[in-house]
Amino acid sequence: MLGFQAMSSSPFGAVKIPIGIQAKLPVEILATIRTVVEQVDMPIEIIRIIKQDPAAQQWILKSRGKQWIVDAETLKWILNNRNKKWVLDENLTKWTFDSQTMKWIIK
Amino acid sequence: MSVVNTDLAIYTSANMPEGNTTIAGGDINSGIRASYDDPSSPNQIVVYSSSASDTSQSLTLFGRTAAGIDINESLSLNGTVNVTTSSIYERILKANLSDVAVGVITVSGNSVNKIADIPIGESGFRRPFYDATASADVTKTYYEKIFVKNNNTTSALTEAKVIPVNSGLASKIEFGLENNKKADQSISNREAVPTGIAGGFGSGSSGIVDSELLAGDYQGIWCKLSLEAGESAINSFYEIQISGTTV
Repeated sequence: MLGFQAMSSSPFGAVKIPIGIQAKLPVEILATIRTVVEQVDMPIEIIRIIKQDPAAQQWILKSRGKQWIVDAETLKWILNNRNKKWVLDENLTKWTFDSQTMKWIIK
Repeated sequence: MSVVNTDLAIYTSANMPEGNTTIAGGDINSGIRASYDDPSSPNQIVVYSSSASDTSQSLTLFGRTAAGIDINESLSLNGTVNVTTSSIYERILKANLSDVAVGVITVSGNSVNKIADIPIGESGFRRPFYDATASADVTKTYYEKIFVKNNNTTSALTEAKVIPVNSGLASKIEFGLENNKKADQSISNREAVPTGIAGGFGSGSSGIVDSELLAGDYQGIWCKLSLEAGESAINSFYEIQISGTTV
């Protein structure tokens, strides 16, 4: 007598299915650019430094044919030379050239 | 229930530094994913929810303009209605929800590609190696930790492997698997060398510990970014495959 036997599902249930994801993680690298500063000669001479203590330096400025003036509002020394503008900060530790802050370097 | 693609996710660790002096690594942060796309071209960003109920949260978006300027905005969600940034973003750095949402939050470029979906119960996404900067003079090496997690609640991913894809920054990033799953090792800063990676760092296929990710299981992956002196700036990606089998 012929009979019918149901197929077991277990052989198929044990089949493993390959699966996977591909994940993209954004990463940026920031570069460090060397700062290139154009050397600009500042047309002054320091003819005398009265240095009684480090916090109380006094500078006497002498320009080479150019006139330094004291700005009445900011009390900063300013020298306009053609299109260039130098400003001595009131604490006398830095100067700006065309609005860019630079450090004093005394050679 | 078989593991499906969406069950496998890449998450950040609890400590993802944005500089070189703070702690990196730790346990998984299952609320923040590390995988998403940048806009295909500089664009405004659109945010919306799949649920009209999401009106009390805000999404804070951090990115850069095409000129490299850091920008950020806080967008108040308006349910399923699009909320659009005022700024144009060339790249996205991170996005954080003020509170988890009822619906899926979609972050997309405006008329360009989708950035990411933030699943229900999660709070955002961010990129690894945030603000990582090459030196002009010396080589720099950074380490940060991400995790792969199996979010399936019943089934395991067997024969589980991590396979780096040879694209993007593959030549600059190697990875190492932590010796133990669910490990919470951290390093004092991202320039410190992590330990507990017996297999070391490399760029080849690597089997996950015990070759499986059980339901809810996760594996820590330390990534090592090596930068030459004078390296040029680049916005790119690191791509990995997670593969395995499931019943």
